Amino acid sequence: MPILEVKDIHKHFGSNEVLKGISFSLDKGDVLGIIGSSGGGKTTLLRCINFLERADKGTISVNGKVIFDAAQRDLTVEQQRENQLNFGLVFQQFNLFPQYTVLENVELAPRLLKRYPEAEIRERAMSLIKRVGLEQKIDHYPCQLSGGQQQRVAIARALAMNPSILCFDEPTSALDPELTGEVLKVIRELAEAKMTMIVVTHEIAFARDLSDKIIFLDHGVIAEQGPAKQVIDNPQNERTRAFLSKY
Amino acid sequence: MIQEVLLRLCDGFIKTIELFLLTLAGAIPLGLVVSFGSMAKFKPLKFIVRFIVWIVRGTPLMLQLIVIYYGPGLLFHQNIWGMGTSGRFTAVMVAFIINYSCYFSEIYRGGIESISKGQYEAGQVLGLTRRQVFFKIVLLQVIKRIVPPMGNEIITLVKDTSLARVIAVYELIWAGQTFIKSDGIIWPLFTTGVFYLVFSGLLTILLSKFEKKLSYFN
Ligand SMILES: Nc1ncnc2c1ncn2[C@@H]1O[C@H](COP(=O)(O)OP(=O)(O)O)[C@@H](O)[C@H]1O
Ligand SMILES: [Mg+2]
Repeated sequence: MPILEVKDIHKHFGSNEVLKGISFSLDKGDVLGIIGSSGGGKTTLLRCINFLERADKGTISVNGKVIFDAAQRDLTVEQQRENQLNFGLVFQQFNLFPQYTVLENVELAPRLLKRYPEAEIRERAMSLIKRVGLEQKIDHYPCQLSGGQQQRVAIARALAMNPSILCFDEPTSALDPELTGEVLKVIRELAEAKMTMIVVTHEIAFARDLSDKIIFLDHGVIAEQGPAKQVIDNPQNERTRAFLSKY
Repeated sequence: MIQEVLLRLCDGFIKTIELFLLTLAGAIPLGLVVSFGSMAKFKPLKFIVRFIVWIVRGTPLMLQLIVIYYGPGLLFHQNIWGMGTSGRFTAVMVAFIINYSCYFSEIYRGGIESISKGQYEAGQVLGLTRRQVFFKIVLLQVIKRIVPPMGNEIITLVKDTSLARVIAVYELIWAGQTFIKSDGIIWPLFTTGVFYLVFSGLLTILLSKFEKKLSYFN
């Protein structure tokens, strides 16, 4: 059974139909790369999956259990929060909490939500920070870090809530080119550790190497999806070809 | 003579400080309520609150004092403020708190609206409640942003307290002024300026200390 199953997601803003029936599934431990031109709906799709937008139509299931159904509105806030915590999201703009140190950023949510005993929260936070290579910076504030370091903290922060599926929305787009490498390295290590991930990216070569499966999202529809190397190296769809020829 | 002048000026100054502190104590929290009203999703409420804020910010505080003190009497033919000094003081407090709540509310609103949507969303995807997001993530950032404009308003309030004498509340300026009539001397009135300067000077130092305290992040 796939860990994630997204079925027929629709979303519109006013008269602008942004997602026109998105369906895909993802197996545990796999990485899904999502590529496509700007405005195609990639961010909106991730936001729907992470409950930041409410899809107009469609369902989302995790491990076979429906956690979102646009037709049903009777979930309590609590249930919705539990469902949402299946996912973690790393933003394009990091969105670290500026008044907290690296360690505090990572510990904040587990502590406020009492996810683990206090000692374990610290231990887990430290090991996550080590994992993203920032153990030297635990007491630094975000404004004292480079963009690449901030994004690595954001990854550690998202992992602290122990999501089943971690989503990235163009995690390196806001970075100077020389800083993208350190972030991509962390994501690659997560993939090697069999973290289930959805990665929206414009780094086509990276997506090809990293992903098990690629979706090409174009004007709100999946124009093409399949094994990463097949989609990138040998695209069947004309629009995919046109898009990839720019890289 | 000097001693007597200073004693009387201190009397007035105490009243001035009382006005100042009570206004802050009332307007700082009430301003937050007003700012929530001015950002309400319920449109009529938002409209009414913004309309009131517009009127209060667009007319002189001196006029508001007079209207609040004399208005009810003219309208209902009875004095709702009670007799004598304490009645006048109550009216002044009401006028000051309303006026400053409206100014503060706009500063709060500016501060709250300046926080990026990404901060709320980052909290939300981590599973935090709306309350936790506001109190643990947004609030301190808002405070940091509003300290400088709040500081300006607070310094203005120090001097605005002198308007209370319009409806005969005995504060610092009045204390200085009485010596013109009774003793024919004007220097006590001039001396009141020193009190204001020292007081606002101390506040400025305090505020910039606070600002520095919050300068570890941006
Ligand atoms: N909150 C919103 N309100 C209105 N339109 C939106 C909103 N968010 C996204 N859109 C529109 O949806 C379309 C897809 O945007 P987005 O999902 O950000 O695409 P991508 O991430 O692929 O660049 C765009 O036309 C954008 O203008
Ligand atoms: Mg996007």
